Amino acid sequence: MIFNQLWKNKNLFISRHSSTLSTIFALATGYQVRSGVAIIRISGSLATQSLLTLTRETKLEKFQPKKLYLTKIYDNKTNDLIDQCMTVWFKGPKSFTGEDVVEFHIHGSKAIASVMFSILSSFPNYRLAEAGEFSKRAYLNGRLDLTEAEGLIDLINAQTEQQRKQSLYQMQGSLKDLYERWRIDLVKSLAHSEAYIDFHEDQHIENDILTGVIQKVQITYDNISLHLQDHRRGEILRDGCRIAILGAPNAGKSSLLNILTQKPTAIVSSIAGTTRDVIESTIDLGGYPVIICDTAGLRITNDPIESEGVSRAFDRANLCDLLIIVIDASTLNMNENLNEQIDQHLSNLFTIKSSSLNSLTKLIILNKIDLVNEKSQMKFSDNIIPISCISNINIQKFLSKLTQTIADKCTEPSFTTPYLTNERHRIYLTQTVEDLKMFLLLINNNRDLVLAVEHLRLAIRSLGTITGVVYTEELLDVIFRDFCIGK
Amino acid sequence: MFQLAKYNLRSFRLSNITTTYVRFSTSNYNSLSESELKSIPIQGVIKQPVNSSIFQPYDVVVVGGGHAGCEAAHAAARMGVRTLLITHKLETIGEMSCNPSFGGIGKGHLMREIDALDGLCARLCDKTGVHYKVLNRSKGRAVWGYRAQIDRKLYKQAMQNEILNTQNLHVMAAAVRDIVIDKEQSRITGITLDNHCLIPTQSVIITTGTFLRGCINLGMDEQKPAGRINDQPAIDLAKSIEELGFKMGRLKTGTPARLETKTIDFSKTITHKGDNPPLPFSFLNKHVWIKPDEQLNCHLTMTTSQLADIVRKNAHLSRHVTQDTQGPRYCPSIESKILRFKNQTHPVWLEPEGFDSDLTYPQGLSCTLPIDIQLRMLRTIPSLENVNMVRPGYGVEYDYIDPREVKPSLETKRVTNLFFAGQINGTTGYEEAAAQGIIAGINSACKVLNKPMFTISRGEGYIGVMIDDLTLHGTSEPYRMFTARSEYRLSLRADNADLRLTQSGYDIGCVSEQRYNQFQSFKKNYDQAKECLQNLKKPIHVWRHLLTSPPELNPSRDETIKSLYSLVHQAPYMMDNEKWLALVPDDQNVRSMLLSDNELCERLCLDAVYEHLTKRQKNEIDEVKRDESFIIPDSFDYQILQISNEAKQRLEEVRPTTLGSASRIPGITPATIFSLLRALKRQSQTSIFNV
Repeated sequence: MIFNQLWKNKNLFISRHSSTLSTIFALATGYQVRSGVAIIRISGSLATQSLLTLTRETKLEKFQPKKLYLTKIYDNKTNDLIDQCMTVWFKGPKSFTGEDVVEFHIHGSKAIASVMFSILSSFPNYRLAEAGEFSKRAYLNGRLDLTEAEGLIDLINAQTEQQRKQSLYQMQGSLKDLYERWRIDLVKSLAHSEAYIDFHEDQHIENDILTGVIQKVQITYDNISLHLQDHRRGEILRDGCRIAILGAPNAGKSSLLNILTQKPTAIVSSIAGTTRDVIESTIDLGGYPVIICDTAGLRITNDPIESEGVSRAFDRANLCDLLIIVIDASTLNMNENLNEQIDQHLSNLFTIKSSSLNSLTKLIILNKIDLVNEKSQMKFSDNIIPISCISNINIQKFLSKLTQTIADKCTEPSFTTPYLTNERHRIYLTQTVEDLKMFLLLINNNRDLVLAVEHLRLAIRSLGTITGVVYTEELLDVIFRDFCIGK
Repeated sequence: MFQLAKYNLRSFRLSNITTTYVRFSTSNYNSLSESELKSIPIQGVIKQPVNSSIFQPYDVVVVGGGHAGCEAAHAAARMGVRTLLITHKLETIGEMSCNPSFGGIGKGHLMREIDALDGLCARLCDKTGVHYKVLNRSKGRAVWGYRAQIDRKLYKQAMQNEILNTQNLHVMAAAVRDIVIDKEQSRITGITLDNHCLIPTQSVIITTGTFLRGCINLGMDEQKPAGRINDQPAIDLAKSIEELGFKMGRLKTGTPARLETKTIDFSKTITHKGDNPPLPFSFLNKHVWIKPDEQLNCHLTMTTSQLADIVRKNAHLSRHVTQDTQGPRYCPSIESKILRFKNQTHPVWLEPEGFDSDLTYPQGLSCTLPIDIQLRMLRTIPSLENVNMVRPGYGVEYDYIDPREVKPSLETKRVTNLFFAGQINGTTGYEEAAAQGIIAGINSACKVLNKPMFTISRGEGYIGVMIDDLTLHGTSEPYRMFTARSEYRLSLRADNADLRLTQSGYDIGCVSEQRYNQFQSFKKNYDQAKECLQNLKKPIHVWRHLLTSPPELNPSRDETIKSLYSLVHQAPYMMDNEKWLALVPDDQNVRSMLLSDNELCERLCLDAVYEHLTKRQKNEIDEVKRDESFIIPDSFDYQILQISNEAKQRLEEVRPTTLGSASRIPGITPATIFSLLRALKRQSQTSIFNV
């Protein structure tokens, strides 16, 4: 009876508070993304907001609950297309968690998931779910019955202790040491700030204590920022370097793919526009994992299927780490300024779909070099390689160049300067850096000290989510070790 | 209701009962006739005839008349239950045993929260202080520390006046010998006094402070049992608590010497004046009782290396130092300060003890060295060269109970309806004691009235932080409140304690109508003004034009629409109250209300300043609250869980009362919590939930 009462109260409590709980999101299909479909699940009172914003719809009536919709989703800041995906939403309490739940069934690509995560975390009141949090909410909202709960326990186990251990283990100590060092530095700075707040006036803590804190935090801030600007090296190494082969129709892209995969992966013919869809293949190149995609030849066409192929080629190119541009050497005039011609060719290609691929690293292949006679004249810059897929000219040189470029992207893993390997870590580190920035800004402008220190606390919390939580005792240990406080 | 059957009153010796004095409020003693009432002086001690009728079962008996005991007794009485406070001596009710001050950083927050629940100490300090000072003014409102030097004598008088004139509250001077429990149900049935007289009661709150096997240390030779100098310790009670199986430990504290004020040369010190205007502690008061310039001064001086030499040479003579195998992390005495840290000099605050007192309290010099060395040491301090030591400093050692033995309601886990509050739970400080007292008082009454337990979560108040820390982690040193202990510091400010707690306090019944009405009228104005400011929206460039002085003529166009409220924290715009107030519409008298009520205006601005971060915290706080609402029954068996033995052991040790507290135990993972949830739900289905 008492429990019933309790249960009733609890429900009252939840209905009173659920509107103010944060909205959480996570990859429901696990973090080893490289699958046909990946599902991002969002739960909370503001969940439907993401559905409307990302699909650029204004009315929720557009989407009936529990029905799948094929929609395009867009980055709300840049207006770029992110993916075409299936979306569905469930109206609370008739949902897994008992709250409003939105699901995006995106293509199972790390890149799409990353973009989605960074967009979702920018929504007000949204945050990445803690391990097991969806189930916890489901349970608290009375949505999960016992058998389901039992089934879930293994999952939860896998998601928490094991995952944490595993990721720590993966870090092989090097990342862990690094993060832990940062965290300890920050905890020390925090403890000194706290001592200043709590004891400065009656216990005479020196005034310059804050100067030291600011210096230390600045150093950590710089270090973490630098660590984040790693061009995703660790992740590329872990998940594979994504390469797209792009070029005009009939330039020999599929032939190049077949050479790389050492088997007839794609159909090769002399007819322009043979490849329509994106063809993906995974290879091991000099020890580095590579996901290589052949794409449709880029041209303006009235054929709706080919046109779609061209769109897909561009979309895929946008998600890649490296582009190989194949140019038919026989279409160039080898006596004129080659570099200028190549630049012109590239800009012609890319304007087909006003797309900006400028930021991506490109390797330029002049295929069919066997058809060109004036070989003696040719001088190429370093990232232009003349080859012939049919006559096997220069293939070795191309492969070693490609391997070297990928190696640059991934960088040799090293114990002393480890790289980020996990999107979750990246999100928490980004939060850490943002809060450290706020701390420095507020404290350097002599604003409310407690507000500034709050940001320092938040920064440590984010960092602690990766390596371990801070307990007040740890803080007090530092305070009492470093300062003389007593009555 | 209470079962008397098991105890035959006559089996106890009542021989000494005539020596027991009982004091009670005349207004509530129904058995007295009108004429008798008139003949009783309100503050008289009444010799009670030997008549068992006064021993009708009490609802709540509070043992101890210190800061925890007074708040507990008063809170229980406010809740409307028959309450008895028992103390060794009536004249030490409300005694400030150590420093003559209340409040401070973190501690001031506790007082504001006690006040929000209609407690005593804040209100009394507003009419007994001699020097009011808010600490930390430069560091942000969230950590302002309300503090005041208090006139000891006046405070004690004021407290006794309250305690002796409260409805439902009786007071008795006696020593408690034993706790009587029904062994089968492990439930309180009464207490017995030194004279073996039984007082039946439904619940008991023990607030014995440092008196449990208290022992005073002064140098190496003098060591005598005492709770405070010249006061008897409680030894029998300690034994009887121990016999019930409570895990106990030993803690130390100390107090400095008292100096004769006229022998101090204040010209060699730095004078610190009180605030002008002095800010009151209580939400009920707009002003304190004295004028700003009537306040007494505090003085600051520093110890010298000479003092350090004396301490080092004589350290072997200090019992606290020689015993210090694993002492507390923050040093309680000057000996430890000198021995543990390199600094040669330490601050000493010379604090007045009251208006008509000729004593000065040297804060920072707590000491257990022999008397002659103490005097030599004191006279090395600039301004104290010729000082007279009226009373030496001494150390106190006392028993405390591992606070993991109590629940967040402060009821013990072992014995139903037995509560512990104050220093007995391992805390130090008047404010920490008072804060526990009020919670224990409220909950003991709730038990009697069959109401749910009243607890404050970490997200709602410092009181919640303290009790959560103590009941979850225990303590190995005297626990003192700091703001660093709260993870929601920005939300838990001294200025908004009433908004956080008064409503729930009123709902449970510990807040008087008078206070509640005052709170409601404030809240109405506050909500109205806040809503008005939030709805006042204009593009930023318009605001900049309107608010900057001199007006920015061509501010760069920023069309972002912002409310006036959201701009408050952008200091440059809002420095000038008059300027922005002029922009507030007066259709519902909001502007005139703000203009006339400075406090309202200030509190609104404060909320606005902190809001963007407190909003972030609010979500977390709500999540904590939700987990707190999931209660683990006392009888829960952790062995049935499919979790690691280590996790089981930790949970067994702490026996958390809610899912929320379980999740805060170090080393407890989400998986364990989930397993716990699952088991709880399974139990509910087979209804083992009969508490």
